[in-house]
Amino acid sequence: MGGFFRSRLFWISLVLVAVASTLPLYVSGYILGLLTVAYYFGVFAMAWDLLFGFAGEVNFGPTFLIGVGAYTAGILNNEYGWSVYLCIVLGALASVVAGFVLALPALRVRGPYFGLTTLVAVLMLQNFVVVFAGLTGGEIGLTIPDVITIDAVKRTIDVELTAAQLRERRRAWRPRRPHRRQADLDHVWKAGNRLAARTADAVAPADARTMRILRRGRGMAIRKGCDASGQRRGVPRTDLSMRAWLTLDRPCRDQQPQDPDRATMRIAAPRGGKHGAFPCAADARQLFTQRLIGLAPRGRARHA
Amino acid sequence: MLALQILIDGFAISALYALGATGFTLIFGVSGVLNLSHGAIMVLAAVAAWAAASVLHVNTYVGALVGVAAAMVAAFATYYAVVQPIQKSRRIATEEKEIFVLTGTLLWGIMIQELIAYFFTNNAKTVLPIVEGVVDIFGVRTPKNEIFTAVVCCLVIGLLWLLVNRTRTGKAVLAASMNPRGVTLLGLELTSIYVVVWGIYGILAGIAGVLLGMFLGVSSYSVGPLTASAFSIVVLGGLGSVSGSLIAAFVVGYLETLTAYLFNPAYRTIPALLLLVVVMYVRPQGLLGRR
Repeated sequence: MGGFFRSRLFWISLVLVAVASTLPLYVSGYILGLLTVAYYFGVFAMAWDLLFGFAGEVNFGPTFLIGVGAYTAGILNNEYGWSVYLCIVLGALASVVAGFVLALPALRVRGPYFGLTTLVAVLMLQNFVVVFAGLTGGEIGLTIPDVITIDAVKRTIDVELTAAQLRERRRAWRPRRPHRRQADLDHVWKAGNRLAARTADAVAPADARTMRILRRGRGMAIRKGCDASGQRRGVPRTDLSMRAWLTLDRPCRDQQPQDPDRATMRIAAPRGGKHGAFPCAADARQLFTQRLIGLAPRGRARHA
Repeated sequence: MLALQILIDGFAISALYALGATGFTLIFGVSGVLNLSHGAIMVLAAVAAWAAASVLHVNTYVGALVGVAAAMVAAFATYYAVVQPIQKSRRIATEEKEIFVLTGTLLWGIMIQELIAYFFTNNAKTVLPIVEGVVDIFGVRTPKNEIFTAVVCCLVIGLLWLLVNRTRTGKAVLAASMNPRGVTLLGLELTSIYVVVWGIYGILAGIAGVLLGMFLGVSSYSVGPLTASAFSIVVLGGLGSVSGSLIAAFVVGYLETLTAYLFNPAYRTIPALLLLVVVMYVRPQGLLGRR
């Protein structure tokens, strides 16, 4: 055992794991998305290899267990709104149970027959998914209210903000941070913008209306397609990732910020200024984004 | 009326299943290869027939021939490019070759599927039927194409029976399925027997594919389910037993038709799958299996 901890392999893997687990801090959302799929396939292949490589059983039904786990987690999350993490654990447990149920008849037979039995399990699951379409979403699939997002900031920046919005933000920041070059500002913004992170949790009423935010436990969770009161509505379900509605239609410079919908979130006028703290809509949006992913402190506004 | 309808529809679909599964079980019986690219070859045949008829505008008979020819080419390609190299390889342990062939043909099938999807999209395609129109059988309106499908399937299976039992080549094939070593001792080249079997397989899969394309339509998505249904029919009947898979094809075909008509078309395949699980449980060698 001591030899194991001193071996080069151990240290190399330790470094690799450390690098891999901190990747969300410094790579783009695109690479993260790519790696997520790669890691997923890695785990998938390892699971299959465990059965075939070590036990010599050809399993044509790994997707049966994956499907049971995924649907369990998804349906629990969808129907009861339990935490994603809890749903994942329960989904994994369901997979284990399904594995036992599958193995009982399948292990009686060998070789191609075993393969076939596992294949039949997948086909049955597929059929039942269609039969219980009310619960599973059938062939269209399940829309899950929550997913775990890590790169919400980057995704928001990269995807949602148009060039015009970026220009607007630059203009807004220029008077207050004249010593910083615009490129730096943009860079800071993309990296998570510590400057703004220290400011406030506040959002303009206009945003509160359009963003459709729900407060949920620690931090914020966005329910896809929810209105302010949390009711599900027939809003676009094409997006696979959860994304805030950051469609701010008008700047709020000349508006006195008011209390928004109770169900959404508290809107506070930042201290130390009437409404000068929100030079433009982009700032409100920025603050909102920070708040959304928990970079900004929860407390009352402390604008510099 | 309903009973007659079920009888007719069930017969057509069962005959089609039987034809599709026969080639599959023949290959396994003679050369011990479970060809998981079966569905892909059937779909390829249907898509080739569809492309010939609707892109090149040949008539439906020529289109069907093109489809069968495409399936034959694909079958030979499967044998020469995938199966034979694995069987001849010295780096693969003998006891693992079966698994390698399974995986190899599965991947090969996925390749064919993706190529079809790339060149002809994923859309469902229906081959123009050779015979058109509807006839009235004791009050049940039946498409002539359905009758044509059933007749051709029975005819082809009959011809196959004649070929295997009444010709020299067929007897060699039969002998190879019983005792490969004995066949080689009698001075017959085992490889050439395998080539003949793959040729027959190509024709059977091609005809089944083209008929399926006329009867139900295919898309590149139907590759997996087709392979799976052929596989389950063959295992239900007993691996390598042609008569067993004929019986199993009719059992599955009628079970599906009964479910679709009496319960709900959405539950169509479930009873057959349940039956398969039960058979696996109580009689793993299948209905007429040898081992």
